[in-house]
Amino acid sequence: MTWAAKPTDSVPPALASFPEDEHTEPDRPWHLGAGAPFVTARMRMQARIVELKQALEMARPLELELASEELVASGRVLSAQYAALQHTPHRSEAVMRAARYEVKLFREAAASLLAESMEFAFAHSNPRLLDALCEHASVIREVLDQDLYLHPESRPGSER
Amino acid sequence: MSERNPDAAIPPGRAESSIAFTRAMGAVETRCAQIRTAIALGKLDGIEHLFQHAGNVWLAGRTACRHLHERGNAQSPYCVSARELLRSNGTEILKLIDLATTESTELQGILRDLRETLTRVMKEQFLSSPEPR
Repeated sequence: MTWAAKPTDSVPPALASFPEDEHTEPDRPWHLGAGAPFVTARMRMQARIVELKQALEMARPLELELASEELVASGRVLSAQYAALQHTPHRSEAVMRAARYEVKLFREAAASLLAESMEFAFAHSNPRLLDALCEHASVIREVLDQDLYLHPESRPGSER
Repeated sequence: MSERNPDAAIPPGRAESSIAFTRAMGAVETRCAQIRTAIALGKLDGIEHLFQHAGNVWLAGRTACRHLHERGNAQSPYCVSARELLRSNGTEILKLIDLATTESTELQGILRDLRETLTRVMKEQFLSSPEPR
């Protein structure tokens, strides 16, 4: 079962293996100076996902809309930092592989939570929330485009 | 789809997945009808928004269907017909994407990601396995 198929989890398993304080683990590839903005963007994205999940669990439509807006904003930043990482000189393939995998996890996690949120909006007959969530789901698909991470090792269905 | 699912074990604060599923499928069917009309009239400007909306509400419906599947009896007539309807509507969106992209090559790039997402999701085990006869 992929993480995206189990939306009750708050954090992708791959992220659980990364330390909370990146700066205490100098041998992590993320600690290279150029990777720091990506790490920050990743942590923000993770925090937004947790917030969206909490808003959904508490069944609060306004917070849900706000959290999904912030998730989209964080997705844009993550995408931009991933692109910046790609253009960093001397970056290692290990760093890029890990970054691609994380972008993929975040895309799936965001899509899964937004779909759950839309289910909530449908069930509670909230068309305003539904429209906002639909828009956000489309934007997430666009900014975390599959081309960002799709390559032989990370194609869906071939995860280890 | 007339038999109501009891929506066993609904998390606190959450509404019934069966209601969400029914409404989501209704929304998908409405969007598909609008897309068919737009294609027939050759009005392809902005059609990608209709597709994105159809795809997103279908994904919401699939989440609701999966919840029904997980919380209830997967082989109950309600769950079986819900999966059938979900598959049928997903297939319809994919057919319409194919139709629209033959009319406009520009739409191919715009709708590629949505098409790939829906195609991948349609292959999920709970959707792709044939129903017992």
